[in-house]
Amino acid sequence: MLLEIRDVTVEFSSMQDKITALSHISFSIDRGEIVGVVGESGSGKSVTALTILGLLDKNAKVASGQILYQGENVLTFDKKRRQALRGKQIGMVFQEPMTALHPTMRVGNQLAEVISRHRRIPKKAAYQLAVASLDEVHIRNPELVARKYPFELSGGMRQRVVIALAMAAPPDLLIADEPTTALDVTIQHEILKLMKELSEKRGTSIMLITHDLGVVAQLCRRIVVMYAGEVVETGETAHVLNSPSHPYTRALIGALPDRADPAEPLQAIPGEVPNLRARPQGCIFASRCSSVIPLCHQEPPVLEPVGEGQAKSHKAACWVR
Amino acid sequence: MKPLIELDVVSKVYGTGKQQIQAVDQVSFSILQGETFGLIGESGSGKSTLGKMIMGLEAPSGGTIRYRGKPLWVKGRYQRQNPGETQIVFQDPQSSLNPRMTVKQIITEPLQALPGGERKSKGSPDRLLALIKRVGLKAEHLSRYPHEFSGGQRQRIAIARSLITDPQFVVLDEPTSALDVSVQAQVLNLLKELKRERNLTYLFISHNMSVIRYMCDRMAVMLKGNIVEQGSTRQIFHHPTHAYTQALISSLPSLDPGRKVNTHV
Repeated sequence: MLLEIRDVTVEFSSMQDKITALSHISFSIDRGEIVGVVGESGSGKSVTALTILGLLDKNAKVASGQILYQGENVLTFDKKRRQALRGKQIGMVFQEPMTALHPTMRVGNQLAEVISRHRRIPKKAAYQLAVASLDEVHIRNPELVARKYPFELSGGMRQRVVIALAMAAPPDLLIADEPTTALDVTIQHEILKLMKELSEKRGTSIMLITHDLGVVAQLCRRIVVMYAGEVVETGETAHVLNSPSHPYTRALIGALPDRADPAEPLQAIPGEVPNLRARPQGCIFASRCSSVIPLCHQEPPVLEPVGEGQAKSHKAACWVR
Repeated sequence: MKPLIELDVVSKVYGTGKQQIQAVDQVSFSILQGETFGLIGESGSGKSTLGKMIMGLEAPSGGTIRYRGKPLWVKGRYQRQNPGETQIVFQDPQSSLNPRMTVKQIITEPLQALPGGERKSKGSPDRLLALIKRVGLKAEHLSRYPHEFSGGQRQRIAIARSLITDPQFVVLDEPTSALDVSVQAQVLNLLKELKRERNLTYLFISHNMSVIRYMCDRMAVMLKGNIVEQGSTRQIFHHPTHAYTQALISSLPSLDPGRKVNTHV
């Protein structure tokens, strides 16, 4: 087990009130494994990433739980140790590659700086490695591209550079938050392929955060479905997508236009994500759920195995199922 | 069915001198009365520029665009149609709604282009109320401001604004791209219902193949300012002929987890 998130609750407070952005979430990532964390906006998937990285704003508080990285609770680390973990052991790729790159620094120099820092080698040797790392993310003419500024590159190329940066240390875990959302579909495909290849080659684990179930289906062995700051379902991707157990996962798949009959209306999920300031007493999805029973409004369901045997790792938090 | 809009070798060049960019290159297609015509392509392919030229927001550099048989642009000047007959809904309701206007002001603003009598009749309180309810909002929402609404609700406001003038033709430029899947489904359903009820014709611009497949009768695929393939949506999805269309369809993330990320182009 590389990373284990145990019962983590994160609260944001402002002058007036308190928002529970994550409520008792638990999941884990094995070595070399690609895990997809899916959810819509407000589901808490990005907050989860920031919590792991220790990049939450000052008004946020981890109210409960542990984050175990190689068995050690990183929440107890001091600032320095936390920083050493970031970048060196945990790499990051965000949605917008332009914001992750220094706008007035040549790509090769940016990479060389990171490499020389992490591996403690002189800049000149690091520059050679930087060019090699561009080659590794399949950038053609790496020597030439290394001399370019980020604005001279296309969105897809930039994201490749960011991936090269994130993999420079090289890390054990890569957290990628919507890495392909800002890219065109055909480029998205290339980037996903690249991430999978790098993970297989180097044994890097990837936590892939996305709103796109299709992306998870293509890339991830396991899936974590989040809704309003809770993990509602998790398991092997094939298992969860082929026989979803939680009504939210079912609804999410049903709402996709991918296979819908154009003559029929799409199965929209009625209503909107509930107010996180006032969490309901019972199940967080109850107000939008089509198979709700009275118990759902009284007590929150816990994440439990859906079935026996092989299906044991497939868990859902639902009273009805 | 007769064409409502015809594009005949339409081009658009941005910039001057050495820094010219051919955004749209001799594009021809027509949109039939009552259909939803899809335009797909990646960023920079020229699809939004086409939408803008049809709406009168950008002048074409060459070619003709006809609306009901009459040229829309003559010598670089937009020939104004019956005001409010064509409308547009933009991608990002965050930036396309004026934050300082109430929902009522936003929705009724297009009426100002109409002659006095029509303005009054189309903007009557009853009609406004019926419209806002039809798009799934409530009467009390009329006095609120855009920031008080979620993304999906804002797009409903933008849709109401586009319908207040009773248009015949609506350009939908990535209307659900900024929305979550579950909300996207609500908005797509609404757009389909409204089209049926009001006998509208849509130009649906999107980069999302699944959305185009679900929404459109016919479609065109744009690549670098050119249309590389056009035809019925069904036919294109079943037998894509151009390599780029094939790439688009094969890179559609499929929900079958067994399917590996495969190579193309």
